[in-house]
Amino acid sequence: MDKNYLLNVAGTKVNYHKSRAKMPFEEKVKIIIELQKLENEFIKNNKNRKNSNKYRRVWEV
Amino acid sequence: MRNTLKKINSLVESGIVTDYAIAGGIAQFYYIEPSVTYDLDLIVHIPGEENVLNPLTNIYEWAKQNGYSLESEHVIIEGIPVQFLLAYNDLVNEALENSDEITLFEEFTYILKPEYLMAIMLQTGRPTDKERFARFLIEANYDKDKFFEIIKRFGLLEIYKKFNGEVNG
Repeated sequence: MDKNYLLNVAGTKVNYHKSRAKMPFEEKVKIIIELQKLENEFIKNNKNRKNSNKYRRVWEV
Repeated sequence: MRNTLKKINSLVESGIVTDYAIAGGIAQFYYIEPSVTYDLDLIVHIPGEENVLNPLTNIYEWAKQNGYSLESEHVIIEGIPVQFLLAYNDLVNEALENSDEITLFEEFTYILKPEYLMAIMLQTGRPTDKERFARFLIEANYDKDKFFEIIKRFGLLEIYKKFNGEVNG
């Protein structure tokens, strides 16, 4: 695969994540809660997933 | 989250907590793109903490009186698991003392500065810390001079150099 292409893709991703870092904190909290729900779903449905004893509770706000 | 912050501030108003700052993942995500986390970590100073066997007792008692349950060392305050952590070393203590006052969800609160969060991540050094530290280098707006001044003072420069070597190959 063309190295320049990969560098370009990597650069685009960096810029994307940088812009996401700047979103309002209130939006970030909504995303965190959605990610908590998503992870809960993955754990329920993927029996092969290593499920550590990590404390998990979806925020009820 | 506003109600949770109000209740945490009431702990300071009532003198159960001297001061606090948001730390851990939620603090980190204030500065970088969020990923999943499940608790709100607070670094706290408690009155007389150095003399007490279990310094968080008064917080747990307050929680019980206010109907907030305890789960795995977390107090569930208005639906959010909150973990109270004493400032456990000089770096964390200084981080707390230099925290910023901000407004979240129309409620004032306190948060560790990014340079201190980065130093603490280097010091703690778990895989999660390394991953988020790498993201801070790219995504966060931080004072590089301040960051290097802190890590030099707390003997973390070699750890930083080793980490940079691992990331950049």
